[in-house]
Amino acid sequence: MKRNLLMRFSLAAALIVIMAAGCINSGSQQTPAPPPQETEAPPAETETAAPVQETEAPPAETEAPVAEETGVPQEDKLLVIAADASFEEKWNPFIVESAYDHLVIDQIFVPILQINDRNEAVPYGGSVTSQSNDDGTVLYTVTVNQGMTFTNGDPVTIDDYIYSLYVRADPSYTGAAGSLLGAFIEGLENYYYDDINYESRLAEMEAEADAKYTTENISLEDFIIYAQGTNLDGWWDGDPAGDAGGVTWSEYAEGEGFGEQLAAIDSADAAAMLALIAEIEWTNYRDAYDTYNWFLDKMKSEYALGGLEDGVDVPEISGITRIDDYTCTVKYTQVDIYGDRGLGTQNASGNLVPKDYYGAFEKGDVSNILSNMLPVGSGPYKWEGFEDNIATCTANNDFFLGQPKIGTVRWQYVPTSEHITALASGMVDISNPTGNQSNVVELEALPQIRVDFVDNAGYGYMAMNTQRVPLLVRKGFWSLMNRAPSVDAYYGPIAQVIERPMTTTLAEYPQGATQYYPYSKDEALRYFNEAGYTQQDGKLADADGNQLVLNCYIGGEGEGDHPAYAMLVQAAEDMKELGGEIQIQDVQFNVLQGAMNDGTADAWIMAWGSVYDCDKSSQFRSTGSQNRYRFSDSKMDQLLDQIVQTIDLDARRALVAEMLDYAMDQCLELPLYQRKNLLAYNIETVDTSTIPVATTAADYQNVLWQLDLVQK
Amino acid sequence: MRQFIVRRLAISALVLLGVSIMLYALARSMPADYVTLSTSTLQKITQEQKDQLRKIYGLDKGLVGGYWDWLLNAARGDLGTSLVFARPVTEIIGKYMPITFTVSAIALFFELLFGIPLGILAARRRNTSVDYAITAFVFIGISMPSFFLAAMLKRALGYYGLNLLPTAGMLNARVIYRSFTFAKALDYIQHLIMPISVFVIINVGIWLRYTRANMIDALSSDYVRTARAKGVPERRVVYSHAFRNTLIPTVTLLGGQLPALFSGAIITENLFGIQGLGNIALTASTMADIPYLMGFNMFLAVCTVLGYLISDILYAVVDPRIRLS
Amino acid sequence: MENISLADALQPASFHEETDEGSRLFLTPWQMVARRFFSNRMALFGMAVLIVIALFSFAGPLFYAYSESELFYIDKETGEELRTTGDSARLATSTLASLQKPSLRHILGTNRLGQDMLARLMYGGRVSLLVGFVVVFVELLLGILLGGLAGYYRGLVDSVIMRVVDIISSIPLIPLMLIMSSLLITLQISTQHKIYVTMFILGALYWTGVSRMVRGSILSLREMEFMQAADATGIRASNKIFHHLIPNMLPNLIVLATLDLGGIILLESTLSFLGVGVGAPYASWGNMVSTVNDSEIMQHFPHVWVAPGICILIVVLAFNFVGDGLRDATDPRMKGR
Repeated sequence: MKRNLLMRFSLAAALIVIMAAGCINSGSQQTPAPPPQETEAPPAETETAAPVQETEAPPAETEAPVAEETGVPQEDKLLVIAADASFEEKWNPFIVESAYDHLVIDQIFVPILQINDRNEAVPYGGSVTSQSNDDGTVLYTVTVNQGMTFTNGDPVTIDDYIYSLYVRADPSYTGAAGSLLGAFIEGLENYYYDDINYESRLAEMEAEADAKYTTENISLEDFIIYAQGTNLDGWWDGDPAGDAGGVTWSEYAEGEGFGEQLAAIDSADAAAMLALIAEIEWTNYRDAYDTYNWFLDKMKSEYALGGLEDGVDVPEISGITRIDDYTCTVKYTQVDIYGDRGLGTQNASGNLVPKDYYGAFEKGDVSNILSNMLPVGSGPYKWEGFEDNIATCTANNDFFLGQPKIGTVRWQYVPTSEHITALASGMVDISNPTGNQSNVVELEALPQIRVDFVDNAGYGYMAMNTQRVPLLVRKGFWSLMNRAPSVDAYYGPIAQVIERPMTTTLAEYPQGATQYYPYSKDEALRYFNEAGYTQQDGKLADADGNQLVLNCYIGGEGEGDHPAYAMLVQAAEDMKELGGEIQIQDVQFNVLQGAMNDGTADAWIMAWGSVYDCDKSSQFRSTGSQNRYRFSDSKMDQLLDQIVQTIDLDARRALVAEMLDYAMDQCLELPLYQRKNLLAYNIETVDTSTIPVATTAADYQNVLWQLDLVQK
Repeated sequence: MRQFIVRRLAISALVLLGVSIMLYALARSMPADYVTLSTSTLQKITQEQKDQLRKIYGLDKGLVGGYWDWLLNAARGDLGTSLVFARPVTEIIGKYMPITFTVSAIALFFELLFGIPLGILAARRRNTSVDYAITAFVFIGISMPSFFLAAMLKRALGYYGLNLLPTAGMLNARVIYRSFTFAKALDYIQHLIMPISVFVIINVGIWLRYTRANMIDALSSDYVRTARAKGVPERRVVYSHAFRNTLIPTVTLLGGQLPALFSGAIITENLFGIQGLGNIALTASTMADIPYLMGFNMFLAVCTVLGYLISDILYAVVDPRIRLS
Repeated sequence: MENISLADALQPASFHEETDEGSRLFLTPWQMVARRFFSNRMALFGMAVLIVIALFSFAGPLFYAYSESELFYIDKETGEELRTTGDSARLATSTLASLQKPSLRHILGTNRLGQDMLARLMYGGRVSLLVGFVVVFVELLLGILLGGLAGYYRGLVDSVIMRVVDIISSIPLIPLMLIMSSLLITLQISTQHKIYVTMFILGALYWTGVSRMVRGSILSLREMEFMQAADATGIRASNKIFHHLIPNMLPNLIVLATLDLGGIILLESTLSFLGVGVGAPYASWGNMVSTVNDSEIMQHFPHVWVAPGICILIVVLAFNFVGDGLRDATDPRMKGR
């Protein structure tokens, strides 16, 4: 008996020790919590406040050697910045992609233009001016500042800029985000596809598509090819005995009046069955399929991939002309409000990259340039190395605006969950913890930390696939969404529920817009009834007895960690009560992407980021590249076209409001929240007077070279 | 012996071929490929550009064609270029293997250091409070999810607890080490104590249980009884007679640990911000980075197969009763 | 009471007049196993824990008012608690009762979504235990069948099966599960079914250990006299396998299965942590304890993650105790405690 007691005791003791270790101080840890600080309270104002412009014109005193002012020599000063995802280690200005690699690379290179805190592109390493011509073309003149040098000693000239454009225009270029393609530069497509007759070939293809593949003109044979290529736009599941939306394919065929043809084929033969279904669709529902664009894309792809196989036909981009050592012109074939940004800013083609260092290349093979992972630029800091998850840069004392004040800057990878600890323990000086309620609470308890709240240039939304879900069902579904409590519980004060799918940081956001679909089970049921779903024996089903089932994809880490999660759970419970079903798919991001792109998701929850303009064409336009709602509507297309052509802000605002109301009415994106990002600094180490007020468009990174440490 | 090894190697090659086919088929059937994932937030990208990228990355080929290309290149030692990291896969594995391996090897050393002596102790004192205490502690270790244990350690020893150890990273970024000094080594050690403790606490039980069971077996065997009857001192009985015989199964178990030394623990590396092979594999699998996934997983498969081979050979070497035929 | 030592256990029962089976002279081997097992305190303790947890998880929800997914709200004005089924208009202006500390209404408090932790703990236990049992069932089924075939027929069958075993056991599990999980969703498997499919996949990956063991035992058993005797009588193969070979391996299989049960519950929590396990909205201990990732919850709301963590800990511990107890009881050489 004694032994067993001992055994049990030791077991219990072990348990207690481990648990106690886990829970120790859990209640008493925030002892040094100061009284609630109101200093960072009005965050909403931050982006409209007009702070001192430190970015555009560097103050003169920075030219003086800073080392003597502070006592600590510049080279001994060290700043540590946290990055919250592991680096991809693409230390190359052409292929850098992750936001965390960008933190480092952006300090090493100087772009032609910089985005200032009011979201304007202003001259930096050079300038971009434009001149509109009568024929609708625009001529941009790009200049680089004279007298700048790269850290390897080479002078910066316009050739370095042109070099960078050519690398980004190369067919073998793989940094998708930085590709030049898509800019309306004259001759760019000819260069990329290596065909001097690109336009006429394109016209030919369009003509062919017009003649053969429009809804009116398409032949049954071509439609069958389309059906095979797209699996009937994702409807066909490859199984002739499978589900055609509540009925089998055979039943569907009979229901559509194709009983005879059905009898003539082997109903177990997938190919024959698909052909038959294609015939039915071709006969009855041709206009529901976008055959035109599918065939056009297919032709273009086949054409595009052939480009360089017959040798180089187009050695140059005709729209780019070198004027002198510091100037070139770039000709655009049409007006693009954001053309100067495309040519000049960091995230586009604007970085000045030393041509001789990265080396010459043959058209069609830039792989040697892209694999160079030792960056050399002309920015305020120069590359030292990356080791042990820490990237190190040292001051470039020849930086064209002046000597950086801090000698060494390091970026350390800190797992998301450790950001607060890293700040609190003094491991890092600057960090951007995830914006959520818990992090705000934690940070407010730390007196040595200053937090800037910055409106995120984006918003959260729930999107619908309009082809899978009929309009009335969408409306009913949206009426089940109780957004406010869900968002509030997750974000607390750093997010607000928005009523239109647009970030409130934009001037065009319709302030004062009211709720379009208030949360109401009764209202939802009314919509479902209108859509033909009635409650039969406790089931919400259509006339054929098919239950109403909708899926919704959400990236909640498998544990419901998402601001919209409670809202979905509530909707699912309500739907169950009504007799339908909502399947919540809590998945990883890549799965969500897959479901969204291949059209298997009815609804999905995502957020847009980096939205700096009110143009929603790529999302809502019928041909938009991000139009995963599969929404095609001429009224919407017209509105979108009008918006980008309207220069007057008030007029544009009215149009945007109308467009957004229409989008709400059509149930494309249910707006969820506008949240703020956090930027936290340790004020015991960083001299806060040197930190500019962060805005949505710009923060300390623009002036990292002016940041200083506290004098000890 | 040579014939045995040759035959085993031939079989291993066959197995590896099968593994690579299965892995490739799985990796290619992921719902969204790298091009889709990496371009999904780009507003201006066109279908042609995506096709062009797929062509460059070799994703335009079918399953069979793609696999065949991969196999031919792999046979020449070229595992391709990682899509996410834009570096040759062999370079990434070569660069991060030392980190993963060092951490795992140190952990393994401590597992053995604690596991074996405690196992012997528990066996000698079996059914006493000592045995129960040891067993209970060890069982608790193997009964916890590693992230749960890691969280508790961080909570207890990190900044919000006793503030003894850093909770993330591999080095203190505030200090710049120009060369590998004692201070740098100390810094590494400070950062690695917690992750290594997680490994050790979770795994020490395996060794302890194994040693304990084998020791109990050995201590009750005839030769031990004979030795005791002859009046051999107890220490010698335990360590020379009994323990030496338990080494055989232990050594073979060690062979099976080879892949674990390189795979790292995906979760532990991730939680403590250690950039090792496991952590990279996690990123690669969420981004459908096929070359890296293939390279890394095949590397592990090779280790596994080698591990089996080595344990078989070791078994034959240490146990003369096993004949290789 | 004291432990029955090996000597006691191995002595003929007739010397043990005071035992329960005192009226019988001899014990069957299974009775001896049972006796040894029931004299092992640790194993009994484990067994008791498992029974309690199973009752808690499977019978508990029948007596508990709240369900696993139900959300609770608090009316901003009156402070009154509202349930999911409440009036929409009121719910729209209320706040979620998130992260409430344990109270009389919610004995274990609520999580961030405002769900009752005790209810989730019960339902989560169902899922975690079920995952363990189903996976073990599948692995035993496949392992015994394929291992048995390999061991019994030897030759080509053996080679083919064992190579498949080698291949499967050479594929790293976690990357594989990451891929599998995304595949499952692409295949449009609904969330409820996904749990079961995940279990079958895990089982299909785990059987290799069982099959190796079964094959090994059959190969050695075939050489034993009783099998040669069975061969001599010319009975059918299935008879030999099911009446002679498998019963002889049963003890080992039971031990392996018990230990795997614990291992799989741990694996489920790891997969949940990576976001590919039993996904929310369904609770599992694994996805509940994963909330420890959230630094605020970790530091200030231990009630959200400690309880599921302890549940995993004690269940796995209990399975380990029972497994070890069974091993000691079935293997006389191990001389149970």
